[in-house]
Order: sequence, then C-alpha cells, then structure tokens
Amino acid sequence: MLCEKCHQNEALVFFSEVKNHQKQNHALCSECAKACSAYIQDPQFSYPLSFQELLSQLVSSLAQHPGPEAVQTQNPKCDFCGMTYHEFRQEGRFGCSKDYDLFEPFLEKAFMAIHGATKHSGKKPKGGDRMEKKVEPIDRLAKLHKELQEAIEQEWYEQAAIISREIKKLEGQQHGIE
Amino acid sequence: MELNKDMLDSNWAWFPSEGQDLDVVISSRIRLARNLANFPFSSKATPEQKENTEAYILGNFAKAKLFQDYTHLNLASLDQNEIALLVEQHLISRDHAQGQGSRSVLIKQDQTISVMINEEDHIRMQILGPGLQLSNLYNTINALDDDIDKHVPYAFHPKFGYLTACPTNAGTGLRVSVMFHLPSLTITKQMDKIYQNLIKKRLSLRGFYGEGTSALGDFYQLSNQISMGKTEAQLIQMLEAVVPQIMDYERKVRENLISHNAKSTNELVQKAWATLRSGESISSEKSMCFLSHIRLGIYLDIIKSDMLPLIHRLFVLVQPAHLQKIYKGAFPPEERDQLRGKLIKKLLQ
Repeated sequence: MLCEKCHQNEALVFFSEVKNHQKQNHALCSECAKACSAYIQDPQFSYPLSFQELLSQLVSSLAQHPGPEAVQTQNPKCDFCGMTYHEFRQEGRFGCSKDYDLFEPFLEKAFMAIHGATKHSGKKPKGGDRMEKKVEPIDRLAKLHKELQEAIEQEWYEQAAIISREIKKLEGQQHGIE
Repeated sequence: MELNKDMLDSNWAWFPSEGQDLDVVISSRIRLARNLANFPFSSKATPEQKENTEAYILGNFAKAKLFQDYTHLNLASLDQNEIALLVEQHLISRDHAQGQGSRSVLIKQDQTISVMINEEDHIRMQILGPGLQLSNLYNTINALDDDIDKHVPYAFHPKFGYLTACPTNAGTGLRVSVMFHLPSLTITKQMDKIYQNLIKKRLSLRGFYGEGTSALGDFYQLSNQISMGKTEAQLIQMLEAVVPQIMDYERKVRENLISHNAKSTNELVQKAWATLRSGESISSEKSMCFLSHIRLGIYLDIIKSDMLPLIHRLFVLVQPAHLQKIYKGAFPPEERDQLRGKLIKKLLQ
C-alpha cells in the first residue's frame, strides 16, 4: 500500500482517526509520519496523533521485520534501567544508554527509517577515541557470538567456521596473543 | 489595576527589532541533547535517581566553576506562571515545564543560552540569537559542550554517536532552527506545498514554541528532521540552503498581494489594526494573528515602520503568562482576554 500523502513510498504507519463520530483509517510512509509532528496543530491538517504516538507506531511497524529472531522472541530486558524491548517498541524511547547495545540488532532498521543513516558521523566527545578502542572489540565479540549462534541454527557451517576463526582471533588479541 | 511596568520594556534576544532580512527571518536557535553514561534517562529514572542525576551534574558544574554567571532556577520550586513565563520566553521547552520531579534550568544573564537539566535528556543546551547566524551560534554552543564534556561523562556510542532518550535525536543530538514570519504564505495557503517540499529534504516546520505546537502569529521554525549520518556542519548547511528559498517565496507572495490584491490586503491589515485598538476582549491566538497582519502591513507600507518594536513586544506580552505577570495575578481565561484587549489598546495608543 502506498502512503496516502506522498503517494510514492510504501506505507508503514497505520492509524485510525475518529472524526465527527466516523472512523477514518490512515496509512503513511515513515517520512510523512515523521513530518506529521509539524502538522499536528495546523488547521489545514487533521492528523490528531502526537509525534510520540506516531513514532511508537513507526517503531512497532518496523519491528515486524527486526532482524535476528532472538530479539523478537526473547524480549531482552536491560538489567540497568529495566526497559524491555517490547516496552521500547511501545514507547519509542530508550530508558538508558545501555539499551542501545541491548537492542542494537533492531536499531539499524529504525535509524535507517528515521535518519536515512545508521552511523554517526559528527562530533565525538573528548573521550570518544578512547571509548571506541576500548569498547569496539567487546561489542564486536558479542555481535560475532550472536552471528555464530544464528549461523549454527541455520546450518550455515562454512560461515560458522569463518566467524569462529574471527572470534578466536579477537579473543587472542584481548589476551595479548597475536 | 496596577501594572508591572518592568515587564513592558523587556527585550528578547530571539525577537530583535532590527537586523538583516528581519521582514522574514526572526531568529536562529541551536540545541544539543546530551546524556550521562551510567544514569537512567529521565523517563525511566525514579524520583530519587532524578535527584541524584541533577545533583551530580550541578555538583560537577560547580566544581569546574562552569556557569557561574548563570541564574539557576529549580523548576520544582517555581510557581506555574513563572514556569509558563520561561516557556513563553523560549528559555525552556514545554516538555520541561510539564515534567515531574527534580529538574532545573541554567540561564545566561543576557538570556541567549539556557541549559535544561533532567528534560527528556539529562542535559539540553540551547543558544538563541537574532537573524540568521547558525554557524556562529553553533561555534559558541559547541565550545560550551566541550567545556561540559571535560567534567561529566557523556553517553556516547562509537556507531550511534551521542545517545539520547528519543531515537530521533541520536547521533549529533543537534537541532538547528530558524524562526520565520510567513504571513503571506499562510494567508495564501502555500504552507502545505512548503511542508511537502521540506519532507523530501528531511527538514520540518514546527510551530512558535517548537515541536508539536501551532504556528501562532504565522511564526514557523524550520529545523532538521534528522540528526544522524551527517556532521553538524552538514546539518547546518542543509538548513542554510533552504532559508533563501523560503525568504524569496514569502517576499514574492507579499509583492503579489500588493500588486494584485491591494484592496483586500489593505482591508486585512486595517481590520487587524482597528480590532486591536478597540480594546475588545481577545484571546492570545487571535491577538497574535492580528499582530501578524499588522507586522505584514508594516513591511507592505500600510502601517508606519516605527511601530515594529512595539508590535514585537506585543507578540510576547499578549501570551498568558506574560499577561498575568504584567497584571500581577492569576486570572481565568475570560478575564485574561479582557485584560489583554485593554493592554493592547493602551500600548497601541
């Protein structure tokens, strides 16, 4: 279904509006949905949703195809702030900075829909380089372990072997072994 | 009724009475959203955690001797009208005003910079300035951000950048805005076309008080919709590329109003002038609409140009919290409308 506003992109956000006791269904693409925040109180437009509601619907609709199976079924919960993945989908807000790591497999799609990009390319804090060197291998290891598990489940043994070698190499580096 | 006369002569950095392109461009604003690593974001924090976060931030600022010349206002101890006044002066967001628990704002003496603590994000700093001066303002707020960065550990991710409570702010945490006065485009119903064009450019138009607010007085804030994948300079350039186009469009429609619709335009301005000078009871929305038409009339040479500073002051003073501050009290809406009518009449005479 095409977006009812731009008639160009695929509609991703669906919502109903009750106006004069009549229900009207709407379908918007992610871009038009995001831009809806500007229309909210504009008399020329009648979309009654807050940007927050639209965002959570956008996040939910994207979550229908979130990538790795584990994120969908296990509903991971942040041990620091208590935010679950389902809650994040519903509220469209993170509970703490650690949620970004926890929900990372899902985030690329969400950021691509919101920003048209998945990677920050601006300023870094002074501790940025230090953090990047320190954090990156650990993040990468966790990611590789997830990928390995997925490859084994899918019986992609060749890929599993490559990932396994990569893991060994990284673990070796962390323990000072080249 | 006794008036608080100090309020009547206030000046605001975001609402100048002289400057380049002032017929269309009013002011510029830059906002940076930052959070601390190892503290839950405001929406997930308990009242005690919010208190701790605020105390930690303010304690570190004090130790570093940052913001010594700023006024610190604790929102939990302010009355509702004082908080609403800060929103009307564009020093805090509506969300911050309506928030719960420990939250505060640091305001520079000249009111050009404010730093909100425990808004949706732990730290939201903004700088306001007259006219179009985005890069200039960014340099100032960027230096302030560097100072803060030395003293509190920012939540930053090597891939996703600065981490914010809402995914729409992640990356740079940057919101760049330019406030326009677009009465002709509004009257001639051209705004829909502009909205559509901006969506494609990943820009948006927000209302007078920012996101989710209406375009009171035909004031619109153009801002970036995205904050990730582009550098701060690129995001600023995205806006700067569009500003002259909007300016030209509004000016062309104004010329057209005078050359092809002189009679009805003149009537529109005269009606606004007569209504506001009558002293009749009026809502803030309606008064801002009429003030907008008078401001248009000034630039179309229908109204004398020396009225501009007063019209600008009135745009601010007719807002509910300002009105209550001027008349030193809290009044129900109907009474406020009556007082507003009287005040406008008095100042326009």
